[in-house]
Amino acid sequence: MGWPAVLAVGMSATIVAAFLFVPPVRGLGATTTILFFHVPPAWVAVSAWLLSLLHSVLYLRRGDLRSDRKAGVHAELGLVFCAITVVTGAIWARGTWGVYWNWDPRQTSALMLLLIYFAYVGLRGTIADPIRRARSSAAYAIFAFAGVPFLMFVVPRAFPSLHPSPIIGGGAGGGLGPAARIVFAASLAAFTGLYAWMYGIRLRLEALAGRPAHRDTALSGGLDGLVPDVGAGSEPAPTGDLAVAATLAVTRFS
Amino acid sequence: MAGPTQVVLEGVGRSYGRRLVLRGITLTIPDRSSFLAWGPNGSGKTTLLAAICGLVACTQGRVILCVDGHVLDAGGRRRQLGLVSPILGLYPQLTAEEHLELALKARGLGADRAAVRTVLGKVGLDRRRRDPVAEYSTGMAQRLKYALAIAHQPRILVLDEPFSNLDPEGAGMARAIMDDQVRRGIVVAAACDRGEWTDAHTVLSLAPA
Amino acid sequence: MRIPSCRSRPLEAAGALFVKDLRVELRSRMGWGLLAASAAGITIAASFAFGGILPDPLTAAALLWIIVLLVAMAGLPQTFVREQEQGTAWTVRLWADPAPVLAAKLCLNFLLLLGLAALIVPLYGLLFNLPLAAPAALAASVLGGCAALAASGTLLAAIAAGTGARGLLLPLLAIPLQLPPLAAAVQSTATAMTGGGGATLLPALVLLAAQTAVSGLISFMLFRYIWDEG
Repeated sequence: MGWPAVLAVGMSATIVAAFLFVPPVRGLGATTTILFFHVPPAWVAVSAWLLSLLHSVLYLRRGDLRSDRKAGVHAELGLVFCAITVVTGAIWARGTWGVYWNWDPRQTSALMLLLIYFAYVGLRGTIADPIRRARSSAAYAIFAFAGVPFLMFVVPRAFPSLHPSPIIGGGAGGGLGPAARIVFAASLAAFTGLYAWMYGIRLRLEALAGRPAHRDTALSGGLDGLVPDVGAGSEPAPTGDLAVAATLAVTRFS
Repeated sequence: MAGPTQVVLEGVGRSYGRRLVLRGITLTIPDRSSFLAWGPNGSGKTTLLAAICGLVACTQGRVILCVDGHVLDAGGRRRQLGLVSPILGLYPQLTAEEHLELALKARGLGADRAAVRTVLGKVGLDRRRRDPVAEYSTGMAQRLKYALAIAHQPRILVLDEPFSNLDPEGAGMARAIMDDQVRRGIVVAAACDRGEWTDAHTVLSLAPA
Repeated sequence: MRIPSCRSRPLEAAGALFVKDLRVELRSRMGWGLLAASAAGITIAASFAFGGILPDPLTAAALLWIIVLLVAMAGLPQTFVREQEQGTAWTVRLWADPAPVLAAKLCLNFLLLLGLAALIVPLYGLLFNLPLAAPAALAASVLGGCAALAASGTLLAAIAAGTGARGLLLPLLAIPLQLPPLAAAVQSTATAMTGGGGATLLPALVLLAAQTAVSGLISFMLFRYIWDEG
């Protein structure tokens, strides 16, 4: 019960501080405020998708369906945070460039990532058997991610962009003042905390939906390194209080 | 070639979503013997055989196939195993001859015409070998599945409902193939009716899940 | 200890599987003929909608590749959906290693897209009265574009065919990943249409080749997980 409350206070304080205490950055003017609601979710989204990829690879190596669940939840939540980024970015673009959308390289790559992970979530929804679902979605995530370095790092840097990253990220002596830096760090922490909270809830729900415990033994190493029957008992049973906790969490969340 | 040839199941189980189809099956089928799993519809016979053939992954336990003391990897399994099963489809667009050539070449084996014709003769399809499978009756299709399962002379022959759709002569052919296989290796079969095949050395009865 | 994969001949297996795939597609009633007919139909509709006149080469190239992409989304999953519905997917899994299966499907889908492009491109040029400024450059662009679409689309088609939505899921999965090769193909085709030189053509073709190679390679690494269970 404790730390969601801390999170709520922290997030509120960050919002107030972003509006009241941060002086406008040169070149961004009054739109500076939106920085604190645009960049942190973007970083969180990218981290979430990296974690999702990691768990997809782990699943294909070990066949443990818990990895698959984690990959699925990370991908889904990354989608939420990327959506925040894209929407705040479009508003910001309207403020500084005069249009909501102009196919700026970063807008393009964010949109493509959004589409890719939207497809990923859609794919998971159309396969009923957990093992087929886990294998197909892990393969899709890895296949898609092979194009992501291109989208994330080549496109934004290879083409001329109006994106103000030099102002924000331009080395240690960048354009942000001390107040802005503190608020930025607080915002990053708040968004990360929000993510962690949502992740914990979603994962518990998935674990409840995904019983009985499975293990894809064809992937778990064949003859070498196999511990007999680990899959069967290792997962916590959906005890009463866990179910209650999840229900409570959902009620509070919605 | 002194090592054992055997099929080993260690606590094999499989679930589809929340539905548990098979649970904790442990057994060993030795060389030159036959095995029959029988039970009503939905008792997991087909899943059990598919798991032995490596077509579906187990969610518990594992299947080990040994031939002459070597544990089969995926490629070895493809060459040492034959399967007759209703889940295996045939191409209506292709002829029996084309099916057999494909079955041998896809396994990385050579396909010579004479061998293909011998096998087709054995199942009584030699005269229809150039007809597309679309023109076959279900019994003829079942005979073709036998030809496809034995053409590469597997050590392990797996049969799901071995006598379905076969006329008395066809059933006799199937019995001859099974007897022949027991002399050379292993027969693993599954059927709804235990009385269909009384020669099996080991019998397992499966209850509906 | 494992049995040595004696006499395993993957190339021969891939060849036999490719011949099988081709025979099955060509002998099927609901096969490539229908795809060709719908490709022609879409091309005619596009020309009609534009009144037979296109404002500039970039529009012409973009519209052409959108038509190819649409037809590819319908055509690429066909072979996998057929295997799934005929139950022959199990048969092939039993007989063949995954790599030769994928190799055959990649070749089949590349051939399919080339065939469809060979129908669409001349028809398109005819209906829009486009001059054939640089035939070799156009051919290279079409070849490169089809290769990239087939290479990145075949694995995704296999994934889509394995879902409850069958081939219908492919556009959702494939389009975000096919935007980069699509852009490159449009660029090189537009250059070819204006008869422009290699300076703008070459980077786009290199990008298409790289996309083909990377997608193909990763497809071979991943295919066994989605095709096989064992």
